[in-house]
Amino acid sequence: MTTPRYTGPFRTAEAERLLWRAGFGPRRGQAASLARLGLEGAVHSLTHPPGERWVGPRPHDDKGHPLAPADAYGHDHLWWLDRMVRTSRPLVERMTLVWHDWFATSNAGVGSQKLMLAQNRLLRRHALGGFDKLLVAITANPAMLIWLSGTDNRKDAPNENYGRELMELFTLGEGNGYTEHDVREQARALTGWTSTWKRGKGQTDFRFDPSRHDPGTKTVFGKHGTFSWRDSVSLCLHHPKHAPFFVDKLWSYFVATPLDATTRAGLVEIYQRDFEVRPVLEAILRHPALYTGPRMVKPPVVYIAGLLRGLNRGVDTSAWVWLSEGAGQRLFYPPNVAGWDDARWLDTNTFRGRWSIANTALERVSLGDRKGKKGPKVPNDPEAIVKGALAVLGNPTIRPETRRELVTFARSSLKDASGWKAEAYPPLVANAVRQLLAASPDLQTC
Amino acid sequence: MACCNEHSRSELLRRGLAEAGRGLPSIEPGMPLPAGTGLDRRSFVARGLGLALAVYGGAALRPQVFDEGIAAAAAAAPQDKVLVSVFLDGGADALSLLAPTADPLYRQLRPRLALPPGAGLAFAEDPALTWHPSLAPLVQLHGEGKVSVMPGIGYDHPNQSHFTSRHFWEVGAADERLSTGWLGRYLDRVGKPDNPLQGLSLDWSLQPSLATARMPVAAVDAPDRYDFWARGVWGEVSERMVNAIGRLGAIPTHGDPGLETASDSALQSVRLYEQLTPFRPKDDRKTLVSPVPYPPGDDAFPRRLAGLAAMLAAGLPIRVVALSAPGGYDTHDNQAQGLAEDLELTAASLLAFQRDLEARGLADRVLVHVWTEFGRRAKENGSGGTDHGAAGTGFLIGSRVAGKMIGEFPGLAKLDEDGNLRATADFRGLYGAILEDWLGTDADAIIPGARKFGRPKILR
Amino acid sequence: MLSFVQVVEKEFTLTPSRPSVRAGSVSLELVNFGMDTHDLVVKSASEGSKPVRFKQLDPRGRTERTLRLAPGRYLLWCSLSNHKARGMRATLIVTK
Repeated sequence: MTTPRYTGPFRTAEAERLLWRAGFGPRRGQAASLARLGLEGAVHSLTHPPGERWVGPRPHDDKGHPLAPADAYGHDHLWWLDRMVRTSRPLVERMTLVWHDWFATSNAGVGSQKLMLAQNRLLRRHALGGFDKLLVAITANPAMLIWLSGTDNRKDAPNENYGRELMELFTLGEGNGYTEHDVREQARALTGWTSTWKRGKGQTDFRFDPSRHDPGTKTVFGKHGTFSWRDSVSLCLHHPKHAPFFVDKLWSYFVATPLDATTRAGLVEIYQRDFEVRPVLEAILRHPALYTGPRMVKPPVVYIAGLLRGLNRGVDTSAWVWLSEGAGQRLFYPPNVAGWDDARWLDTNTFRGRWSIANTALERVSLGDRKGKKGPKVPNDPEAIVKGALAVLGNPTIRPETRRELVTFARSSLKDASGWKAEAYPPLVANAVRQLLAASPDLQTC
Repeated sequence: MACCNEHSRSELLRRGLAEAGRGLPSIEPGMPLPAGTGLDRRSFVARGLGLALAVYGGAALRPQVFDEGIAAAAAAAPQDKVLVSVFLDGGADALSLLAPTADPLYRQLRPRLALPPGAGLAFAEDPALTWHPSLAPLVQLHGEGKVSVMPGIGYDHPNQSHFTSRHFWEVGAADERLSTGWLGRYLDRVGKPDNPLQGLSLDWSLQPSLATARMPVAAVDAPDRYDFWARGVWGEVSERMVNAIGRLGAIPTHGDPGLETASDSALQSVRLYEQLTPFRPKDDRKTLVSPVPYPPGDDAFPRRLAGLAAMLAAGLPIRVVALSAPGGYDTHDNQAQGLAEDLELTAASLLAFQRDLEARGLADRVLVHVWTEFGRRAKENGSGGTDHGAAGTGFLIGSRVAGKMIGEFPGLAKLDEDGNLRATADFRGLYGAILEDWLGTDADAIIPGARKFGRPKILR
Repeated sequence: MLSFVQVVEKEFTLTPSRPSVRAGSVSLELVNFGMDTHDLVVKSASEGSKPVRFKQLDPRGRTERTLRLAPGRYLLWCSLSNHKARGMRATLIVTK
């Protein structure tokens, strides 16, 4: 069974959307060159990327210092944002973000940027690989063991946290095919993980200790066995409700409309072959719904990274940390164990957050005289001003009505600009047009 | 201590979220979902659309409708009563707010924390009790008959988890699964679908007690700081630019939910910007002009109250408001100093707010309810502080309150089996009284099991 | 060249983000992930050195100071109440 495939034109606009959904938006000219590969070629280039090559200036903080992602607050966020900006493997990086949301672990509970970075590397290693391998690895991951109390789960004092979330959030969905009894039994199967507390060093030496493991028979999903933690994972993977849950959830990161039954069946079949994520992604990325369906609001870090990619600018200020927070997304600090999933990205406070992001992105290139130096001349010409704004942002595709509205704004602002205003207004208007464009509904969505 | 970590981790998550200017408070594994988290965790597809919010829960109406709705609501009922809910976050120590100084048990249980003899003012209704010195501003109001104290308010089978107990207070029931706030349900019942100001969270995020199922409510951190500035743009070009945000947001979206969300949030933001114009400092005017002085400083609390008074005076159709008092009241350690400072700013701000309302002729319309999720243990701990307890102290403040204690002082002789103060009033009964007597609506429809709880007399 | 070390404090632990750092300018950041107030004192283990005090932090607070550190062993602890005795102390090695 094959899944539906988009057969419409695959031009710059379509390639642009693909790059936003499967990455962080295009660099200048990237959408056009991707379009030339055609749909299949484009999807293949994303799912089978070459070795990583960083494109653009290296990151630094406001004072010019290189980043210390394990040792300075906020540098963890900047370090990852920088990867999103400079990566030549956008789908790998985007899937790392997907897994960060899927297995949402917050440093608020872990208290170690170093452990969070190690988890991040794990997620990236498994970005396009087997979900079965990822699930095993994340279960044993120190940051996750701290976050969901894995190391507190002992045979004499079981802790159900991880066992519950493993099923409720990671593999099956709330109440979908398991009972409270299964939660308790899974907790027993997952016992044994431990660590050593070293004063001044924190929790170290994470390991499985058989003497802490409950060796008895457990009953999970009606099956009996002396299950251990790997069995826990395996039982979930092979649960009949897992594959549909998995494809539904993965689909929802890339496509705005619900999964139809036919496509779901097709994706389930692909996934169930061997739990490999890559072929499922390929099917999703070539699906008509991605190209013809409605737009999706860009998550804040995607919006920011995309602006920087389009502007050809690197990560050069720590402001991105709190600006991203202001829009609702501080990397390594998802709001709760359900992640940013279903999060409400846009309200009156976060819209203002995005406005501030656009302002910070554009301020390096703002027009007009600065500190006594004369800026480049801005023509007193509404169409040219709008054209210039689009060019600065990498020529994103926008609705004709949006373009008209921007031209109208520029025209009416310049209309009565006589006398001293004739010289002063064009740069103001140009800056305003750029800001409006960057904060427009068109650029908030993809 | 497990409970300490719980509050800090959850607060960190919640705060990290709140400071992010995001939608809703966050939770930890095992904790109840705060009201308003109302997100169907199974409908993953909804994610990419975000949700159109100014305006939490404000369904699918276009924001132009909100504009007219706000104007209509303001014109229709300018005399509607207003409830302001102020939360002391962390479980404020009842025995410090109102100390039983005449009881010898008090100094036995609190050798370090007891008020020194002579400190604090006597409580007029019962001289065996002494106010915390920092509450002097409230004492003044109490002397004018404008404060009703609830010295031991709580509920049976007290829960000592911050998250869970707070959740109960916010949803108006001992129910971990309930996902709407008690004030949200009030708005769902009497609110208008086009007036997002009817429920106002003066915070970065939505205070859960305001979480509705259907009606729109709004969150604004600081009315005087809500504006849209861009580098290299000023004067009339800047004004036009803000207007253009709205014009871009008004472009028809032809049923594309993603575009609709983005467009609506732009429109909402401009509407809110326009409504808040009177409260935005222009040019050299640095702060909001109030008829009375508020405590100076950076803290948001007095600023928010001052802004609220000004918004009410301007006739904005605000019905219920929720915000948090400054500081933290989870005083496990070093209680004496932290509590004194936080209470001082809180009390001084509340006094200023009352005077402000009086000066503007609004005092008869506003009732302030001060609450906390629980009180603290009678016996102090070994670190100069106290641990989580049960019944706590609450206040009703306003020109129309009865001015008499609600529920008697529980006393130290009959603590419960955990060594905590017993509740002499139930918060659900108080809510019932507020809903019926102040807000004029049917409490049974909003508070589950409302009839079971004694309803105190709250107004004069 | 500036090096960075982050000290995470909770009840009742104090954990530097790395066990050692190069001598020179070190940006030492204190973050309070706990629910109590905490502070930080940094003192070289060598005789007669003066301790450096960081300001007290409420939960969620952060503060940073850049110090010039010579090679050697440094002791870090929280000076409030009995926190040090309860475990809030650590060592940082500054290498050449």
